[in-house]
Amino acid sequence: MDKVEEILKNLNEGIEKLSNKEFSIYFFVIDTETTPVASVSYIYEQVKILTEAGYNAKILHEKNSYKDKQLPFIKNWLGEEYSNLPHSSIEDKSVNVNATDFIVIPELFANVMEQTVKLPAKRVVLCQSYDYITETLQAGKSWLDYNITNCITTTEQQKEHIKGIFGNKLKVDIVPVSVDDTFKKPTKPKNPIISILTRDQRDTVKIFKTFYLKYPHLKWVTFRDMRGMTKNVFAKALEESCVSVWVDDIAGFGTFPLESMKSGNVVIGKIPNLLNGWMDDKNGIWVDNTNIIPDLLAKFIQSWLEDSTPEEIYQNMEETVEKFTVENQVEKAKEVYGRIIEERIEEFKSTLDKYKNNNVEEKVD
Amino acid sequence: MRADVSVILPIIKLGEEEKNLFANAITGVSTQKVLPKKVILVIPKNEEIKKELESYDYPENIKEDILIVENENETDFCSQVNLGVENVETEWLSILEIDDVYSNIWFDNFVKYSKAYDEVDTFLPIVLDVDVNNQFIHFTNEPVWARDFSEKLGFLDNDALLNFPNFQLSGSIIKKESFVGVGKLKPSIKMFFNYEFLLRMTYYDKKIMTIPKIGYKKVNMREGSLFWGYKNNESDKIDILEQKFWFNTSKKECYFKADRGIKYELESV
Repeated sequence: MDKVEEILKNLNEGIEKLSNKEFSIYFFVIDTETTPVASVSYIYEQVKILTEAGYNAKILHEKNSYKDKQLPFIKNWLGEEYSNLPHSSIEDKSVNVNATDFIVIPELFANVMEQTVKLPAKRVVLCQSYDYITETLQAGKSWLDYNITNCITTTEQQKEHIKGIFGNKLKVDIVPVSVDDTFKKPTKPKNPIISILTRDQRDTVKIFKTFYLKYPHLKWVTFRDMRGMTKNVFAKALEESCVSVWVDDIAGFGTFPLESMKSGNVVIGKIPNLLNGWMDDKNGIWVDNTNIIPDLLAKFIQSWLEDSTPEEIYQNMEETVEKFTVENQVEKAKEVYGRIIEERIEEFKSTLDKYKNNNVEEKVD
Repeated sequence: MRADVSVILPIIKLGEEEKNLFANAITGVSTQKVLPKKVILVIPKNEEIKKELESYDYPENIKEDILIVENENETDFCSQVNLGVENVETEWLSILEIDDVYSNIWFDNFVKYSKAYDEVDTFLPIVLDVDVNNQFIHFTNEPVWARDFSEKLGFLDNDALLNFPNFQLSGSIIKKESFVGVGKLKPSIKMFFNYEFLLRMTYYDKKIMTIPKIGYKKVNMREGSLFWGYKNNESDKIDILEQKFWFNTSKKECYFKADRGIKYELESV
């Protein structure tokens, strides 16, 4: 068999494999060292969705030690259905990536994009945090320079932002975040507890200290820092509290406020630098200045103690969060990954055609 | 729907000022989102007061629920309340002082919380304490929601109460069975009868929870009120030594269900 025939055979086999879902989709994840990180939970969710859809999706981690420490943590944090998903380690060198495979790389890891440039697999950037796009990217370099032409993000606003940076050659699709039924309204009345999550922990400290100083008659109201909890404990804590405070300037989506809304909590939050598309002036108390959060919080607590919070805000919260169902995420994920796979098949077919044509021309010559 | 609660409103005298206060207190009951089943007015044996209250223009929605009970014996606050309790036919009761007022959400919240916490014997409101000019002074009953104040967040227990005695019983909603079961209020205990009662409730393992809602507004130190009298009335005045005596006595007497007729003795302080 000459070289061209071999290429043709491989391309045909590749098309068949792609059509029959006989390939792998690797999702690169960072080892969070047993710290819950929303972006990692989103990646696990994608792998779960694709696995359930019949794809061979896998978590790809760097070190073998991930399985010893991080995996038990994943089990505890997200549950067994996530820790039992297929995992592969780069370190043990057992990963054999083919041209039919896909590697999904988070936006932060420009170094991984560079290191994997010679691999035959199709690579896709998963961009959840627009703020990290240029973090490790070399000056003057683009994802396109690493032969990456597909990106998946979570909101229309991030999509526009990404296109604004990389131009229209980069195809950007959206797979939204979902808020699953772990988050629900409580069966018992809520408690005077404030759930607080800020990207910079100094903001948490500033807010609660200012609140207690300015409103000593509310010193008995407890703040609960929502960091480092397992998903179930986190959801339970949201159920018990009556209000959430959120400060995250660089948030790409804002899962915490939506989880809070689904748990029946009004959210007092700082408007992030990039709008996320779901915030409006009726579904929360959104401010552009962190300094006024303690004052708004005191006003809210007072109205909550008097049952005088407008019912309208709770209705708007429900309407907002209804849009982020698991079903919607599953549907979009299937559609987007399905399309990327179709495009890969077309690439194979197009290459196949080129080889066939070249081959015919050579014989004629 | 009505809350299965009888409001007990003890009335000692009914001058012009008390009439205004009474009107406010009654309005506070009639404007509830969820109404109580009964309002029991406990009055001394006094034809004038009786006549006044019988002919009072009660709001339509509670008109049929008013019961006037005459006390022919002692008419101190505790005795009035205890007599009111004897006339309670609902599962729960609530004490309303004439110079105070319920917030309109109180019984609605009681219904919600009593469904969610069926183990509770007494639901305390967060009390909005104001001065005679209606200026906010502080909240009362709220500390149970502070982290580590008591064993269980939101609940008052004996240890917490021994460390921090400032809780109020007025406005709270108490299971009649529990109120009677621990021996009712003790008229012999001066000034700290509420404290002694709450200590007794917790000592006998009755569950007390503060509903984290402002359910009751209390006017502090109104001229002529019971506690104003303890400070200012020559006949009722209680000095610091006697206050200490009653405070310490409350801690000792809470083990006994019956009122043992304690009398103030200086030497025992």
